[in-house]
Amino acid sequence: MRTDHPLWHAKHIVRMGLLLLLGVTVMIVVRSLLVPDTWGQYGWYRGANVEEQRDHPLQHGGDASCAGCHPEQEATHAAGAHAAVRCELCHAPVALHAKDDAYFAAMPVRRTAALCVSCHQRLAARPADFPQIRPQEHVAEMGGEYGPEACFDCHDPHAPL
Amino acid sequence: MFPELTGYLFPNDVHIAWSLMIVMYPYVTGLVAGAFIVSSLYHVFGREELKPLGRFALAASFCFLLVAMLPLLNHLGHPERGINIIVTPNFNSAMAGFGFLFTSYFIIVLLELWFVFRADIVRYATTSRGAARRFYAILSLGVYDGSAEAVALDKRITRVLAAIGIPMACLLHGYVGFLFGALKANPWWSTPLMPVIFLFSAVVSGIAMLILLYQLAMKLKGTTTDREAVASLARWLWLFMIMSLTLEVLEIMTLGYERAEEWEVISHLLTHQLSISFISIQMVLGGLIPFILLMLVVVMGRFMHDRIHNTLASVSSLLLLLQVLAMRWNVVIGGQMFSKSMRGFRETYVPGLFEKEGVLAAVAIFTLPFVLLLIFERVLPTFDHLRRGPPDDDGLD
Ligand code: HEC
Ligand code: HEC
Ligand code: HEC
Ligand code: HEC
Repeated sequence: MRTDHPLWHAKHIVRMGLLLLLGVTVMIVVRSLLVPDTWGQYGWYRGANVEEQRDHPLQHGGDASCAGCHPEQEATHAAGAHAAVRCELCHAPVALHAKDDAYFAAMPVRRTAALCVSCHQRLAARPADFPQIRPQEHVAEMGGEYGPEACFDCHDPHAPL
Repeated sequence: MFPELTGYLFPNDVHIAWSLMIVMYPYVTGLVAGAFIVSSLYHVFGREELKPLGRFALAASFCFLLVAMLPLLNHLGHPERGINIIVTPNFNSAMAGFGFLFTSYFIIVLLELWFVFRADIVRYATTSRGAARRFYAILSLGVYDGSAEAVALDKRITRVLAAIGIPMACLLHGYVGFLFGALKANPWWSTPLMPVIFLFSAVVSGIAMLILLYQLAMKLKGTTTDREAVASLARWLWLFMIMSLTLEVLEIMTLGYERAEEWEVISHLLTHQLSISFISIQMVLGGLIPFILLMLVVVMGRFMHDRIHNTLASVSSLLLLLQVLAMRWNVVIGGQMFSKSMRGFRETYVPGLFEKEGVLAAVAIFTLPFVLLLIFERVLPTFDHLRRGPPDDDGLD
């Protein structure tokens, strides 16, 4: 038998080939372990995630959830210019405040101009028909004095006009 | 509230989401591709004058490849999820290409390295002792065949791998440009030229880096640099920088001549936000000046003393490395300095020194490949075979 034929010297190549094969196998196994079972059930995500999202406890209750305990504010609010702005936007989700119709923790009250300005600051990117102001100019024009609580001298947050 | 913002910006235009790390990523990947192409000039195209660098370039490409992913991982809020792009690639996303290209290119470089260094590995495995011996034995996969026939086989396989590696390296880097070029919402990025520009500037940065690294390595080893190798690299560098720069200028010229609506923002961008990094650095300091210097080296190099010849080549290389970095910066950051409304701008962006994605992190990541290269050189010296001289029949090893 001839031993000077190149194939006699290909042993290392065979080993490397086997090693590559092993690598590919390991990759396939690892991949099957890493990909979650319900992957691709509905789309490019884990199907079970839909149920997990659905099972999150609700945080927000809407204005109706406040009405029972705060009828006064609810009435003012519903009749005012902020009727379209949800209570929980300016305060916080009801789940942090009351549970099973019982009060359990204080609700934040943000009595600051910064709250109002976050929605009403004049910006080119806002729709033109949305009421917008330049806070300092506006207060000065209306004859008030600007400060961190300035807006509340003239506006009721629940019914600003 | 934000003095650095002017005009009509959408809320999602305010933040520079693709930070300095996303500048580093194409920069490092470019060095990978560029260094690989230099090694292939020798391994595939048989440019004998580049023989002193054949192995070194391959090792350098590998070391840069090892860190190429780090800037991206550091950029991610959840680096541990980075693997998902490989595990469950979404073919609707251009990013999915990364997993395939990166992995296959990585395997090819690894294999090529192994075949190039295998004879050395076998020799170390038989001559060293103790832990080192065991280490090299594992590297050799337990086959100690250092015969001429086996080495000839290795060389043939090396050449095939290097040949496959060229299109892979081009794809890997072209794809990075594609990520930007395919974003049609952004007129500064969206051009089919983008992958090509990225590719050419990658080769420029790779060659420039090797000119510097090679001379540095020779200094550290206390041997003389091979002037012919430097001269050859300088010639290639000149060629590729001309092409790269021409493409970059052509892109701007097209935009400027068409005067479509986006020229309004882009001309402002180039003359204000990017005036230093584009005009001064990318075009003049890093473009025109090395063009002239390299022209001197290429055309008049024959009449130059080695010292001057190599110094001019090094200075040009340094400037071109800066140029390519500026180019990455101008693309990545520049593309985020104006609003998709085409009517608003961000005036400045200065990455912080100590931020998670700041300057220090970038420097740390960029230092790593050089440390790796030092370690590599310790484990598998890339220049020794030259001193040992040739049992080198067909000229390639
Ligand atoms: C189960 C009854 C209940 C519900 C439902 C409820 N609250 Fe209250 N809330 C209370 C009670 C009781 C207090 C008074 C606590 C106190 O005085 O310390 C209070 C206090 C507040 C305060 C703080 C007043 C202050 O001066 O500090 C705010 C603001 C408030 N609620 C808002 C809301 C909003 C908004 C909702 C709906 C999302 C809501 N509440 C739902 C019972 C309720
Ligand atoms: C535009 C933001 C905004 C909205 C919407 C809003 N609030 Fe308020 N609310 C405030 C601010 C600001 C105060 C503090 C007013 C003050 O101190 O004068 C406040 C105070 C309160 C108080 C404390 C008692 C009082 O009247 O000062 C209650 C209770 C309350 N809000 C409930 C509600 C409920 C219920 C709703 C929805 C029906 C609601 N708020 C909607 C901003 C808002
Ligand atoms: C969450 C966003 C939001 C916040 C916070 C907010 N507003 Fe409003 N505001 C609105 C919306 C929405 C309207 C209704 C606009 C409409 O009817 O087109 C409105 C209407 C008004 C109006 C009536 C403007 C008109 O011309 O009809 C005034 C005044 C006003 N807000 C003042 C305030 C003040 C003062 C505050 C701070 C206590 C405040 N707003 C906080 C969203 C907000
Ligand atoms: C000195 C009283 C005063 C103060 C302080 C004041 N406003 Fe007003 N604001 C008014 C009056 C009065 C109007 C109604 C003007 C009109 O209808 O032309 C008004 C109107 C507005 C409007 C509607 C503008 C429009 O174009 O429809 C907004 C929004 C508003 N105010 C927000 C604020 C905010 C936010 C603050 C706090 C920074 C504030 N105001 C402070 C008196 C005041």
